[in-house]
Amino acid sequence: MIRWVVQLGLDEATPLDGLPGSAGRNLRGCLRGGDATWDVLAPTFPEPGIDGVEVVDAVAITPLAGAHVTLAGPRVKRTFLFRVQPGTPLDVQERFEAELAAMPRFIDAIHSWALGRVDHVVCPSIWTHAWEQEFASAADLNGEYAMNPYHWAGVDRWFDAEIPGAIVEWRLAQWLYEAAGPVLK
Amino acid sequence: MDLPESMGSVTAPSVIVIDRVLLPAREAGSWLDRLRAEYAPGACQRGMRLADTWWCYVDPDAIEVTVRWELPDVASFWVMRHAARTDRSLAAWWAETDALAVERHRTVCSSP
Repeated sequence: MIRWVVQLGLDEATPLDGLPGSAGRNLRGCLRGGDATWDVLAPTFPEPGIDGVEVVDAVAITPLAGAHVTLAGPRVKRTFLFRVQPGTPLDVQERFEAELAAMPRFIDAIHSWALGRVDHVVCPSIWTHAWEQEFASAADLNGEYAMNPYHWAGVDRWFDAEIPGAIVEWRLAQWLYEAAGPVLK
Repeated sequence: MDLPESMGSVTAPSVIVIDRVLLPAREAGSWLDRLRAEYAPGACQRGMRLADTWWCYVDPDAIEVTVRWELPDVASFWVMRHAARTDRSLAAWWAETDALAVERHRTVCSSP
């Protein structure tokens, strides 16, 4: 089975309860998203099969690293998508991936998490990587996650085009929704 | 990569950005003039304060220029990063610098 993160366009008030996996309307702060996010396992490109629901974007993810961390109740599921510059040497990309995957060691607000590469063979995409996390609240994302120095004085250098050695292109996507239960298992 | 325990703090320290640019000695003065005239005004609009500049000869023909920028807090840093990400003129500025520079580094630092 393939892990998919899907952006949906919705007619007004269309319920998402019938979808397998986890889905929810996008929260404020989304960038380059649709109306809702759908996390689902499927062998092929997922089709919602609900009137008034259409797929507007989707990524198939090949996992690199991740962890499940127990968190009761609803949570904010974040999918952060970016593109590593073509031609980046693999050893440099792998060092970047390792530094990104170390963020949960420093930032307690990250509960379950996953870092994966976007599978362009299964589904073409402009993105190369998906960095996913679950937070107890959006305040944790905008608070501890954003403010921790390992983030802004550490891994951000890979994203900052003003810093020599940055490898991530400027265009980014962030998809946020409230999930009723665990998504990254 | 392990960091000191104090680096895990969620306090909001001031943010320091250090640019170190190694240039041919004959280029260093004019580059610094252009930094002040061309780059610094936009940086200031993005929230960066030009705090200090220094230079030192690393050999008879090369000067390393060090520039220290300050931002008041981490929130200001992210505002700056967002503004810089969408400012296409910065790529041209740094490309011109890199065409001259022997070496260039930028580090972002927090107060311990």
